[in-house]
Amino acid sequence: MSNPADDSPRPTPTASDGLPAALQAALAATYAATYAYGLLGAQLPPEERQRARDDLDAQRLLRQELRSTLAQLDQQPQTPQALYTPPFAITDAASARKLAGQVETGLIRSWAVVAGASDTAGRDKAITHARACAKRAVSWGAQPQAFPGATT
Amino acid sequence: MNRSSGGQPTATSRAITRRTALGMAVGAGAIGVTALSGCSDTPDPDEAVRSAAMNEERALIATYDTAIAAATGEQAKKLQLIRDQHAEHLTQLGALPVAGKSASPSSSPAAPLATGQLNADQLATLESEQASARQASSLQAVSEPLAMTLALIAGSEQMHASWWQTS
Repeated sequence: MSNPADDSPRPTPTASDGLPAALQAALAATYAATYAYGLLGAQLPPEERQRARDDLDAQRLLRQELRSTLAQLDQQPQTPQALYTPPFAITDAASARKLAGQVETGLIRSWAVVAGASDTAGRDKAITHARACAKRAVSWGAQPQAFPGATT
Repeated sequence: MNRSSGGQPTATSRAITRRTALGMAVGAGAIGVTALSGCSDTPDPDEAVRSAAMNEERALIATYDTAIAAATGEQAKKLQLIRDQHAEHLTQLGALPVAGKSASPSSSPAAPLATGQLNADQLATLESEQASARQASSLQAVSEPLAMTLALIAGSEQMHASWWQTS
C-alpha cells in the first residue's frame, strides 16, 4: 500500500532511529492496513467477511494504541493519507486474501522495529502484536518467511 | 514502548541501565582498540542471549533434519522449507555485530528436540514454543539490533506455527 502523492522512497526505520520513528512507521503501516481491509472486504465471499472485519478491528485497536503511545512521548501522531494504492488490483477473493496476507506480513516487521527500540514492557507488547500479525497473515494464506516483511 | 510513563518504573530503569551498560561496553571496546590494538577484554553483554538462541536454532534444524529423513513427497518439501528458514535465523544471529569480546560460537552438533516423524500439530506446538522463547530472549537483549532480530524471528516462528496448524 502506498500513497500515490508521495513517490519518494521511504526507507524502513531501523531500531537505531529511535522509538518515535519506529512508532510513526508502525502507525503509517497500520493506517494502510485499515484502508486495505476496507478495500478487500468487498471482494471476499460472505463466509470470510466477518474474519476481515475482526482483523480490521484488531488493526484499529493497534492504531489507537500507537497514537496513545506517541502522545505519551509528546510526539504528534501522523495523520493517515487520503488515499492508498494497493500494489496490485483487488479484483477477486484471491487478490483480496493476498493483500491481507501481505499487509499483515509487513506489519510483523514494523512491530519488530518497535520492539527493538522499546524498553522491556513495550518490547514484550510489540512482539505479542508482531505474533498476532503473523497469525493473521498465515490465516489469509501468506507463506512463512525467515525475516517477515523483508523488502529484498 | 512508553518510556515516559510512570507506570513502569522498574522496566524503564532497567532499560536505562541496560543502555548505559551497552554504552560502557562500547566505550570500553573503543579504548581497547586504541590501547591494545583491537583487543577488547570486555565481554559482550549479549553473548549468553545470542548463543542460547543460536543453540536453540541448531536444535530446531536438527529436529527438522530428523523429520525430513523420515518423510516423503510433499511433507518432506514443507519440512525442508521451514528447516531452511531456521538456518537463515542461525546465520543472521551469527552475523550480528558483537559489542566487546565474544566467545567462539559453539559449532558442536545440536541434539534434536524430538525425533522421528512429527505430525503437523506437534510441529505447530514446537514452533509456538520457540516463538515464545525468542520473545523472552529479545526481552533480555541489550543491543537493539539483536532485540529486533529476535523479535522478527519470533514473528517468523509464529508464522511457522500457524502454517503447520493449517497444514
